[in-house]
Amino acid sequence: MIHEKLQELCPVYAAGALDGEELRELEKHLKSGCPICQQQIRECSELMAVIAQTLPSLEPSAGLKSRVMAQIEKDSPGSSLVEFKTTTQISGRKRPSKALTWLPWACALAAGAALGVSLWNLSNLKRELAGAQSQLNQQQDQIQQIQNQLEKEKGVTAFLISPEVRVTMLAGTPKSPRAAGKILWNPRERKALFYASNLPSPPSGKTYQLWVIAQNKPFDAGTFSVDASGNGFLEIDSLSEADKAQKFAVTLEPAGGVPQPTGEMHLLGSL
Amino acid sequence: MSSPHTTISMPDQDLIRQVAQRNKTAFNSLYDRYCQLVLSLAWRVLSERQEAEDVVQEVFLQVWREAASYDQKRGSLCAWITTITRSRAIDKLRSRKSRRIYDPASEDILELDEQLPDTRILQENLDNRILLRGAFASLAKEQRIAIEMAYYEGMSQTEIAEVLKEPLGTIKTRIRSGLIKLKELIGPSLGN
Repeated sequence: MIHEKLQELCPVYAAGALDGEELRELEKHLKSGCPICQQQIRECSELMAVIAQTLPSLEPSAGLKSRVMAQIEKDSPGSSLVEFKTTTQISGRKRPSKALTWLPWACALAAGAALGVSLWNLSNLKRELAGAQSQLNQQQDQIQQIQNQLEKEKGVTAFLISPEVRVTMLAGTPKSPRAAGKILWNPRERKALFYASNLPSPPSGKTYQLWVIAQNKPFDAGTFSVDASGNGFLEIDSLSEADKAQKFAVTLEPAGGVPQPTGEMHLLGSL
Repeated sequence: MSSPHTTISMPDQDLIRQVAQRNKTAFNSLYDRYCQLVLSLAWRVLSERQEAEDVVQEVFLQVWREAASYDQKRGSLCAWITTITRSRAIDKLRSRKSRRIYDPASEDILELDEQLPDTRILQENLDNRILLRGAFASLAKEQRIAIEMAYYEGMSQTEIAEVLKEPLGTIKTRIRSGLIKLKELIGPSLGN
């Protein structure tokens, strides 16, 4: 089989669907060390991992982490047991056992002082109640956060599946050769989502600014910050000159942004 | 020994290196980072919680034992763990005496928001996941079905063609063009 044909099979192989003679031929070809096909399979495997990340999250059961850790302990002979708290474990739940350990001492020391023990228990209960209340408040905040996030996800999904949405890739300039960007935009609705990656951290007092180039003039599309990995995100509700856009660019500007670009260009992409 | 705080924010490559050196704190952080992905994928393949949790145990034991053999040149840690998970889950699926027959009409593949997302995921990861979900949802339905039948049901291209009553070449094209489009949509985020 010619190389181009084998290369076409790489995505099917990464999805786990290749079978029969084609599977045998591609595996033989991969063993021969073809760097192009190996790279293609690497990329497709990353995409399959991406697809897995779109699955709805499932909360693990409370005992799962302990079971995994117990296996690791068994697999590491002679090592001391390390305590790993499960993410769902509530600190307050451990108190009764602590109290039980203390109780004989407390009883011995405070024999005949039942009132003291009662007061101690009362204060303990109050502490637990306060802890539970604080946890409840925290969970309510989390529910609100999830609801807001769901609304946001629904909006973005609706935006992305519109057939009018266009995608323009931005490449790093010599200032940031490793950087990349992508803008998904709807020329009619003037909405856009912009993603950047591998941008260098801006110096103090500077920020990145996105520009729409239309009729050879730059129009401000907003400023954005980047995280420690150089990834940035910008949601634009009203993209200037969206229907006439020719190019998109990112420059480094004074904090707060400027009406016209003054700084060095880090990303550029043409339609 | 690293403190839990330093391993929580540690990049994947450093984390797996620490795990390879038998650092249990690092392993703890790695588990927290990937447990939900592993469980969700195993559950999607097996549709049975207990079996899916068994897969989680097997996957993390394998990661613990084989961390030293992980080679970042071959792909991201996420892709490595995902590949192990899918492979173990599909093995379990195939070992069942009777297999569930995949019925595309019954699969609500567009219902991507049917369960609540994990609140522990950092905001930037959420933003990224929104993009990923949106990108996958924007593929043609036929492309998504072909990819899902292969990836989650462990079906070969020949089996998919038979079930969907489509030519084999069409199935190959759907998988290939679906992945190519996905790559175009999420290119800059890939492997992050």
